[in-house]
Amino acid sequence: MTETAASVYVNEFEGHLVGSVQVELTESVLANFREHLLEAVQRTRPRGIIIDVSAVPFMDVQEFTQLRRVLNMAALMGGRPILVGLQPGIVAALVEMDADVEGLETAIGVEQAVRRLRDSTPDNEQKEFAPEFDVAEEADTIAGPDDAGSPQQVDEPEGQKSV
Amino acid sequence: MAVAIMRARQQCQEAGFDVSTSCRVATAVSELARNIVKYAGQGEIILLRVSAPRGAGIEIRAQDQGPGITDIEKAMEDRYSTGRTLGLGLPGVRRLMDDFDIKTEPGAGTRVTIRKWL
Repeated sequence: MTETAASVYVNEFEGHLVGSVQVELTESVLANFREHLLEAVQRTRPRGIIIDVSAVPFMDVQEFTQLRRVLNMAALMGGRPILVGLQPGIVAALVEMDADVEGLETAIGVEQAVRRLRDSTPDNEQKEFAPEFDVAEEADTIAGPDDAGSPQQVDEPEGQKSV
Repeated sequence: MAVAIMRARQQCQEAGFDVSTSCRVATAVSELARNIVKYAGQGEIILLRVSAPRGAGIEIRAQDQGPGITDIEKAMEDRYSTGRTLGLGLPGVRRLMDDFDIKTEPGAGTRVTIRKWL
């Protein structure tokens, strides 16, 4: 986890980036967020870029527009940005103010965004992120530390098939 | 400007508006404040608790001694009707509030008064 500033975080999760802003989007917060997010996109090559703003108490049209620019930048780098968690009051005001929301992918929450990204990922691409926790643990205990790097070689014991 | 927006939200919540309505009022205040900064350079925003026979509410006056708006009718036109706006956000501000009044004179400044009732 990278803490970029007070209440701005960029985390990696299942091959995606989850950026979380928990304060109002002042110019310095936005600049900081942009810098760290784009750096993380380049470094981790995520499939999805989930931007969680559920803890942002207020966002005016200009701040929203600036945030969109950051999302556009991330998209230009090849990621798929999804904006998550806009609060009802903010949404109502943005639409009344005629803010440009065209072409913006959104989700109700981080879980929904992750599920959508998972559903839209081809199976062969999904595999490298697929191992569930219990499988990985099995691999470790059975194969020992030497073979831990190649879990696909490990057969699961009968009767313990993980879902 | 940030202070005006924060105060507007605080005042709204103290006056008894829900979070969502407070957010809408704050958005309107923010738009007016940004217009002042952008076109007039400076001005003032006054927040008032008001009461009338119909009940209590909040009033915001945004005023400046800037260049004023030459074509106020155009400034109030909606994108839906004309396909473009002057970009002042005034139709949106009017939609977000219950009352909207604007007085402007080229060269003398602009005063926008908006109200939201509980």
